[in-house]
Amino acid sequence: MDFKHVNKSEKRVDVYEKVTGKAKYGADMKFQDMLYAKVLYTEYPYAKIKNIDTSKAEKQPGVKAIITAEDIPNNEFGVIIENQQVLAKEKALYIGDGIAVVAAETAKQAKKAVEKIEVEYEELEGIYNPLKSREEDSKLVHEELEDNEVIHHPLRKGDIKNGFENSDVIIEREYDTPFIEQAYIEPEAVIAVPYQENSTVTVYGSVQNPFATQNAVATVLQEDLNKVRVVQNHMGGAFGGKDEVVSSLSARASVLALKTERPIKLVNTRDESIKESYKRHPYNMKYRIGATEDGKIQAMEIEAVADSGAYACQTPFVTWRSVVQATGPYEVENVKTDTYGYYTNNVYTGAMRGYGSPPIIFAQESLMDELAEELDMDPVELRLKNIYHNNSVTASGQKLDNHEVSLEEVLTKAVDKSNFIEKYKEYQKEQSGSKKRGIGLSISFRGCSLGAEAIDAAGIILSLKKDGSVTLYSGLAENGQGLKTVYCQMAAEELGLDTSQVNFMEVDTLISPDSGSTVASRATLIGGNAVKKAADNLIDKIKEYIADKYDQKEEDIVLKDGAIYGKKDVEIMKITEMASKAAMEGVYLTTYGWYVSPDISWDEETGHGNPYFTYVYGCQVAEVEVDTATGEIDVLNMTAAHDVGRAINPANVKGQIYGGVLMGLGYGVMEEVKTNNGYIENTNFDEYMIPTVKDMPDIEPIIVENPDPNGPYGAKSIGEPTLELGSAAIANAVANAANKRIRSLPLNLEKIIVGKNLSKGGDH
Amino acid sequence: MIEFEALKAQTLDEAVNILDDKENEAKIVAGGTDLLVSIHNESEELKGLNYILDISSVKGLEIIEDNEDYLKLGALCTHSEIIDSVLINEKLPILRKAAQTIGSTQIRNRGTVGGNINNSSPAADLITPLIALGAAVVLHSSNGKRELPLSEFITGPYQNSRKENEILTAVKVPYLPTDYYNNYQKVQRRQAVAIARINLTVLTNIEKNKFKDIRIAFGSATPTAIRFSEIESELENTNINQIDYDKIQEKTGQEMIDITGERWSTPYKKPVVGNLLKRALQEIIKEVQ
Ligand SMILES: Cc1cc2nc3c(=O)[nH]c(=O)nc-3n(C[C@H](O)[C@H](O)[C@H](O)COP(=O)(O)OP(=O)(O)OC[C@H]3O[C@@H](n4cnc5c(N)ncnc54)[C@H](O)[C@@H]3O)c2cc1C
Repeated sequence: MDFKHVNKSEKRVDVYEKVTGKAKYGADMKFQDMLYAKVLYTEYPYAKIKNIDTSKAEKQPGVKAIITAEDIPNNEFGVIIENQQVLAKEKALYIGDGIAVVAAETAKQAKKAVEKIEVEYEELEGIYNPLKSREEDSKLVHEELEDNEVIHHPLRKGDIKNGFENSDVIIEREYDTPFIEQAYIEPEAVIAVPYQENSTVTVYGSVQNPFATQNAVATVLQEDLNKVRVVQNHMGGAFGGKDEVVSSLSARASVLALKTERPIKLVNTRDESIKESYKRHPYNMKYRIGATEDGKIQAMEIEAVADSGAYACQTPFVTWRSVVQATGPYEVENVKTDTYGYYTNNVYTGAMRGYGSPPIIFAQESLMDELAEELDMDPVELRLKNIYHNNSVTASGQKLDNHEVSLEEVLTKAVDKSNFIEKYKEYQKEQSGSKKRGIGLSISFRGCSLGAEAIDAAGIILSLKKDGSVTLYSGLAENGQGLKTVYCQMAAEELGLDTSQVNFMEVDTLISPDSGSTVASRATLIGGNAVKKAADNLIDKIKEYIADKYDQKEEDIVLKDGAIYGKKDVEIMKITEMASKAAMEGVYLTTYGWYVSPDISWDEETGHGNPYFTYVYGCQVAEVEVDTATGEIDVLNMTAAHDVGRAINPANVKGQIYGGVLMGLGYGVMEEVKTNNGYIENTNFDEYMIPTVKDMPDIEPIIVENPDPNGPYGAKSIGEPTLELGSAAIANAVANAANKRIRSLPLNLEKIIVGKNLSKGGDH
Repeated sequence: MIEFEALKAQTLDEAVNILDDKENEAKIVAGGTDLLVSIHNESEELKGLNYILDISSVKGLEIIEDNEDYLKLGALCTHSEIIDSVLINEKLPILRKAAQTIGSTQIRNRGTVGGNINNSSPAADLITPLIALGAAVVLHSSNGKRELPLSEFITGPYQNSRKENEILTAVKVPYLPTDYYNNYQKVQRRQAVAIARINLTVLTNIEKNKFKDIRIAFGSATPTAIRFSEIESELENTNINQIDYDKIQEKTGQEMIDITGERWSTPYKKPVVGNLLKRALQEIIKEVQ
């Protein structure tokens, strides 16, 4: 296909403001008479709040208001289960729970006043391990519930008893992954402005999902949605992390804004951010796999337990993605999978890039290499024997027959490009010296978009202005991933305009169509289809107008290169001219496109159904050097092959690959939020290690394009798949290099040398 | 929240006077890369802080001075200045190697020798080589000047014998004959901006294939960076081609435990100190051959 704009690495539309430093982020915003808010957090991870005395704090200079849970009209909110406290009421359930919020004339005054609030606690014995909180006689995190289970997703296929009986080799392994911080560079920041332009409250700031936040604020204030407005500012990253926590900040600021009738700014420090914000779930995973001696998988039995922390947050959906993908992209006749989430008094867990897939891919792709070793087979061969192809049937019984199942293609391309086979054999040989090289790979299939979690629809409004420029309104948001650019490219492509003639300014719940959340790598796919629909509707309107006025047949009219062409491809007029004429004649050239994704299904009892309407496939290869003298791992290079359906903007796709690979490396080698009986030990970047530019390996991105019939121009997803594969590829490379199989992340110094984590309080 | 008044001195006299004036309540700040972090974290030991005294403009403390048998390194020398110094590169290259591993460009541009020493972290990257080199610190106060070996100055993790009215003005670093070999090792959790999990300096002369005057100092393995004298005597006069590495490694680990006792981190550090020493020795031997 010959495209003018899509499939081209066009310049990002938001680049000028960002690279010149003109872009304003949440914390940059200022309003007349604005007050500064500061939160007092609980001292203990689990404690009864016996008394809060704010009298001294109230007398501090500059203090205008102090709120506690008593002041919150409706203290509990949540996207799935409404049990997250805006401020701790009777009990603090985790170390990031807020107790009170002060609003003062300056940030300093607010901070000082917070120190003067006196809280009487009764410290309670909490529960900090989901493997304990699932036990029958466990204490309850939420006393009103029967047990600590947030969710249980079963999946049953075939008969595993039979499957294991028919297996020549059976291995059982246990894997663990830690809490992970999203580590967006911009900590949470919101400003709530009361009574502005007929709204009760308007929230500005670093909001990943303006509609989710609007909903939370309205729920908390018990106000109508049409009186709560959320406007997104430029985002300094989110990676899934600016949903519930930002809703909570917004709710607190809004209550204070109404109480003081003044704008309230609430900005977290990094320490507050790491302490308060939700994390990626730690998982404990038990895998049992059986295969014939020629390497055909017969059965898999899986139990995965996720720590939900104090609140339900996104746990039901995160663990649902895990149940769908737990067996990996392999044909297995007999499957029994159970994924669970349990409450504990740890920091709560929610969305983070990958969403339920990074832990299980680490486990299951490590397992595949372990099985290959057991079978004395090379890891590529074992995978090729079992992977999905067109018309394969997944663990949930879905037949993959509506798109190109390109696993073999991505696997082969990554393997060839990295010279995997040769290096793997080479590195298996005895290596002299203490620095050993190794190479490893992992593959995945990933359901695109929300799947059966929720209704999956999005809208776009396109408005042709009288000068021929176009304004694009979207409910899905630019979180730094490049969404504005790809939407403008797609609209320009359809309308025969230049990308620079289309502008997508911001998401504002006042004018943007509610399209759900910008999550699940869904925005290009779902929102992109809506862009196309809106553009097609606009073209229809233009055709109708031109046909009527210039005696043309609608079917002859084409928009391209900024002009309208009619019969025999003769130019009728420029689009700019038409736009101005139409405006003068009262022709309304604004349209919307509403896209609802194809039908999907899921049976919660059995885990059967078609959970996603399409999938993406990826393969990553990591080459490492393991220093067996010190435990240091140097990831030398990574090759990442991803089928994206169609790359709307190849440069942006590569950007996603580079970033995702590096985040995956962090997950693999160094990242870990350390908790100790509910306290978080590393609340800043001096101790919470993320990769630096020096840790960045050479990355070879391979973009594979098999256009999907349900994607706009065939496009699917890329954001999350890039991150989910790295840790397993690195773990497999380490095993290849040093003959050490490490089954828990991160693969830090101690695990390489001693085989386990060491910590001050004893072993974890 | 810690609130304090910031004072600034332009000369050493002025600085010393301010310390006296404020009755030793002023906390010195040079590059601030340690102190500002502590202030931000509201560290216990800073409770009650009333003044900070910025000495970063004090003249004469930024010198890198070539003396006959020693180098005088002003307390305000930054890590970047050490790296860029032709003199240091020529005469004490171990300092350059260690400085290069510190933090990031920004930190190296601000962080100073005086700050690194006075912070007295067991992991400080300049302290290990300075201990091996037998450096001495020079302190000034209104009572005059005193000098003592760095190894005596540092008394414990984050502890030293500086009196509150004293300013560290310089470090005197004895030169080594230029034919000495030197090696610096640092283990870290990532490849930049990381505090040493363990660091190691080895300095040695080699005569007729034998170690002479070998000095081995570890950081982060013991409460303060210290020379491992047992292992030094074990290696002294040993032929470089006849090293029993297994024995050396085992003894290095044991020496660490003898000094430090068993800690939570011992299972990791015990083998790694030995491994690191082996690596350093092998790298040196490779240079010899
Ligand atoms: C991100 C980051 C990374 C870092 N990485 C490393 C690393 O890799 N290796 C490493 O060793 N260190 C590292 N550090 C620590 C720090 O940068 C160094 O210790 C630096 O040398 C401190 O120097 P400074 O001038 O900034 O000290 P300051 O913070 O100014 O002072 C530190 C202490 O010394 C006292 N002091 C300073 N100068 C004098 C003086 N002349 N007389 C008396 N007292 C004095 C101060 O009162 C204070 O107690 C890092 C720090 C950061 C923030």
